[in-house]
Amino acid sequence: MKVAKHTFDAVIVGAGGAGLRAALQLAEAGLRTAVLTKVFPTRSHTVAAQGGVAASLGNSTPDHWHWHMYDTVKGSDWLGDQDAIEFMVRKANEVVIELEHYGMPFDRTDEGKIYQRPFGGHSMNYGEAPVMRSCAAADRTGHAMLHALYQRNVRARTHFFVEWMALDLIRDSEGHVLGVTALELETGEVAIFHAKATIFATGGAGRIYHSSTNAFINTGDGLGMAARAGIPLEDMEFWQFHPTGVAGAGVLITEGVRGEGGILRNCNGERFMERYAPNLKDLASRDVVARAMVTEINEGRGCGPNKDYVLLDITHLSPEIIMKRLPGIREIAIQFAGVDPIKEPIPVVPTCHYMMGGIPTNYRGQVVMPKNGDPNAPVPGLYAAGECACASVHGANRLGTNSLLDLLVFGKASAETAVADIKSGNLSLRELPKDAAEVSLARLARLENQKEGEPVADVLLELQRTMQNHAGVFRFKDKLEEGVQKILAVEERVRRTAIRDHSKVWNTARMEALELENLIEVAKATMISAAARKESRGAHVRDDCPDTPEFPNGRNDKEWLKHTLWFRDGNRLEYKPVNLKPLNPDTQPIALAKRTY
Amino acid sequence: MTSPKGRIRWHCRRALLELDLIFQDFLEVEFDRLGDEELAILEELLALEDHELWALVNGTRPIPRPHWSGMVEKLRGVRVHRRTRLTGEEGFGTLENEGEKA
Ligand SMILES: Cc1cc2nc3c(=O)[nH]c(=O)nc-3n(C[C@H](O)[C@H](O)[C@H](O)COP(=O)(O)OP(=O)(O)OC[C@H]3O[C@@H](n4cnc5c(N)ncnc54)[C@H](O)[C@@H]3O)c2cc1C
Repeated sequence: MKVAKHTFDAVIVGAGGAGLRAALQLAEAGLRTAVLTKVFPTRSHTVAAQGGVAASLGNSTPDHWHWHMYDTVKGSDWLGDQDAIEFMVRKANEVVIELEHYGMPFDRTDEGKIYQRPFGGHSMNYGEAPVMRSCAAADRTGHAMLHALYQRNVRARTHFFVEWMALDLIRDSEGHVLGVTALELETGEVAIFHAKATIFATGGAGRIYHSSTNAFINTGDGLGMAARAGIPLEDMEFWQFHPTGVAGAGVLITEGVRGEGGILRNCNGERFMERYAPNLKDLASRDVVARAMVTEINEGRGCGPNKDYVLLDITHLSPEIIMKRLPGIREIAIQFAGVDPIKEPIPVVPTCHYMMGGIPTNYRGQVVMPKNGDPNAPVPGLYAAGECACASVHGANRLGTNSLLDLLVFGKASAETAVADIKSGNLSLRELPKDAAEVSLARLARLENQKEGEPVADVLLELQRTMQNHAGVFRFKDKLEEGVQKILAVEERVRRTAIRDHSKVWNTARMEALELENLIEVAKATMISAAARKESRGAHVRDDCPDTPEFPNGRNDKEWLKHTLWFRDGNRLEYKPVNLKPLNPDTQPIALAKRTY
Repeated sequence: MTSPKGRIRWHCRRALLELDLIFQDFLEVEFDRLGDEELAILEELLALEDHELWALVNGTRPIPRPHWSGMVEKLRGVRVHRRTRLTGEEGFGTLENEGEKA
């Protein structure tokens, strides 16, 4: 097969918030910049974000970046790196105001400043009281952000390659990254994108779970490509579960519903959160509510014929309030649960929502991995930002609204580093290896020639069920160990998938088969890292690591205050220290403490 | 003239899970039965922003162009169809096996 070649200064894979923010920085610096994306940029999953983006502007209540830093470190259960967290919270105002200048229609206060709303986990004065820190554009924050960034990129003459799927990373024998191979959907042709700098911004991978709030596009392609190229994945055991996804569908029911008075009930109609969180009740933090729900279900107090969900009840609210303050919720319940929430409660289950782990980076957006004794040696030519990256600012648990902030700050930082590396001559166009496209062509040929094999959908379902049952909200030693064996068996099946459609152009079956090859890398990394981490921390909660005086909340800082690195080769695990030191020597570090709210 | 069917199928991949779920069922039940004229209408709908399309499907926004009504009705119907198929009952109310493939 003949393989065309495109040459750029920088190639960015992904056109969500992170990719577009990075592209803008590079294009405005005058560099030839290509952005590859599976779907039209403004159809990236960032569009789904409603809650807002965090910044300590202090427009609505007093605020300080160090309070934001405290909340983020505490939220992360101290697994977040404090240099990266300090960097992010101190850059927050700058990147939000930049967006304002790009024309993002933020909500306003009466004096015309950006209006800010409160959000779970964000506080004033180190946990004293809720703070108003989230900047939003009605319930369309992600949508507005993508549109503002996209328009700006068009102006800056970023080159978009829309409906192109990146397949594999190209590295030379010295480990330098030289670009990617990619498949154009419209022609079915493979091409090489040869570049001085490559930035991954491919988003999340929530589709490894059977019940997920993520759209179908979140298949972890960046993580799959990195893993196949020998780059480890960091802290993959940490996934955030949102308490209220519609049972069986996954669609997110926002926290706002409980904020307006929605109540969770078990099969006896009991408001069970009163037992688990007597003060905050249904408004306790995401992980607390999710675990309480699973406990109710596990102890036989779930609802429905299979007793496998609980109910979110808003029938006591007036229809006017539901229609006015909770727009969209009624429609979601009617379409996906088959109930009208004005008359009947909504069936809900904790649902996979966000991936805290990812491709390891430093606060400058460079991808890093262990080399010659340095656990954080940059991989020359490769950067990552957004949900696919692990900087690590979210550690073991992310705070709401910190993800949109993450992708703005690190999207920009990764590109700034790349611009500096290119302009200083640190990065140049290195010679492509002869077999640069070989791996990708072999993957495509395998699919083309596979005669007998299983349908992709069947193997995907097994992968998702295995993750859901063995590495869910609550984790059990035996289940995890069994899960490792099962997911390795699923991997064997992934190698033997077959597709019936062999057409060259617009072959969606081929796309899905290729995506499954990325999902399996994410799934293995998750299961194996989770089975190995013998403590409870943030979103990773093990039944055999309970809350004791010696190990508060089951957290064991003596042995486990460290980042996991999973390597695809032999499913090897390594660990590296957490950075507890802020970036600036004058900044007060956030000392280890028990995480209580 | 409409685009290749594979292209239209790929454009059913959306930014919102709500629409992904609708189109998953739609592709299974309706897509292969559509004629050229209907495919052309579907393409017009797929060109909309996700929030806009979802508002049309869930009925919170009126359908601005009369010739879209039939296709929007089809999209609205697929989830009901799925429930009926899985439970043998008419209308809403049961969730058994719902979302097996979601
Ligand atoms: C329902 C929901 C609500 C949320 N609300 C909030 C919120 O209010 N506040 C907040 O901070 N966070 C929120 N989050 C989280 C946040 O939205 C995401 O973490 C964030 O948008 C991810 O952005 P991204 O740029 O990393 O990736 P995405 O926006 O997912 O973009 C990924 C891009 O990569 C491209 N891509 C992927 N693979 C390939 C490939 N192989 N080849 C080419 N292109 C590829 C895609 O086409 C896409 O353009 C929410 C998440 C969900 C699911």
